[in-house]
Amino acid sequence: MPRTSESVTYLVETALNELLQNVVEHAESPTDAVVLARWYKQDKNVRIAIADSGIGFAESLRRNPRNASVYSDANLVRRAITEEGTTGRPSGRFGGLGLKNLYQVCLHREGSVHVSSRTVDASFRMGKESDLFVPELDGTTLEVDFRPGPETEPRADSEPEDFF
Amino acid sequence: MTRLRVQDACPSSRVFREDGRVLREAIEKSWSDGELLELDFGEAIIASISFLDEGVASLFFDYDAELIRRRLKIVGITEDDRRQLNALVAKRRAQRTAA
Repeated sequence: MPRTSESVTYLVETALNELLQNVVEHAESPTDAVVLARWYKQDKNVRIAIADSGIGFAESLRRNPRNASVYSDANLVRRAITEEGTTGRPSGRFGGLGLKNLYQVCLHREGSVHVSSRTVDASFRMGKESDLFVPELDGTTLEVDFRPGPETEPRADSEPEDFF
Repeated sequence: MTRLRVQDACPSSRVFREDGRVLREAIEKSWSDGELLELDFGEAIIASISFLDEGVASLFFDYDAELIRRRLKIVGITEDDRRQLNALVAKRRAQRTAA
């Protein structure tokens, strides 16, 4: 059964908040970020991309000593997208959730997350992951796309019980 | 009953994890077993996983759910934010159980 649908605007707003927050808190970008968003009417697909000229995704994650032992930039970026708790914020106990949640939104709505940042160029989608190494590009471009509406891919976990 | 408006606790921004930390501290300062604290979102759309998690859901990692039920009531939250918050609460409760 698909989960109840959040409104389209809520999903888009949540995605934008998480992506922008990432830039403001971690990118150390000397210039403003550029946001591109498009609604593909025929495919019923939303695509949002945000690009900055900062220190790069992996470098920002390495500002947290807990990530220092992860040798590969690609592995570190993969962990930040797909696993909870990987964050560049050295303080605090609860970080590293926003991008993982955004990944889940995309994963269960026929979407994907794409990261291009310095030596990493990686795509994450249901059942598929790909990464390749590219010549160094400044900054980070994070791109997400999904079909707003009910989830189309079933989740392994059950619908949580409402507390509030 | 004591009322805490999210807008008053975090007047300038309700997006970042740091904003959420400010809200959580305000909640912990205001609540008690003697009186229910009503946390009022004022029907404003939050749409920030980080803020909702750090501000409210993270309490469920550190406190028993029954204690929170006695002390905290949420009002004026939009349906989308309520759904998001409940998912985050379930996650933090599960982590507390596993810890």
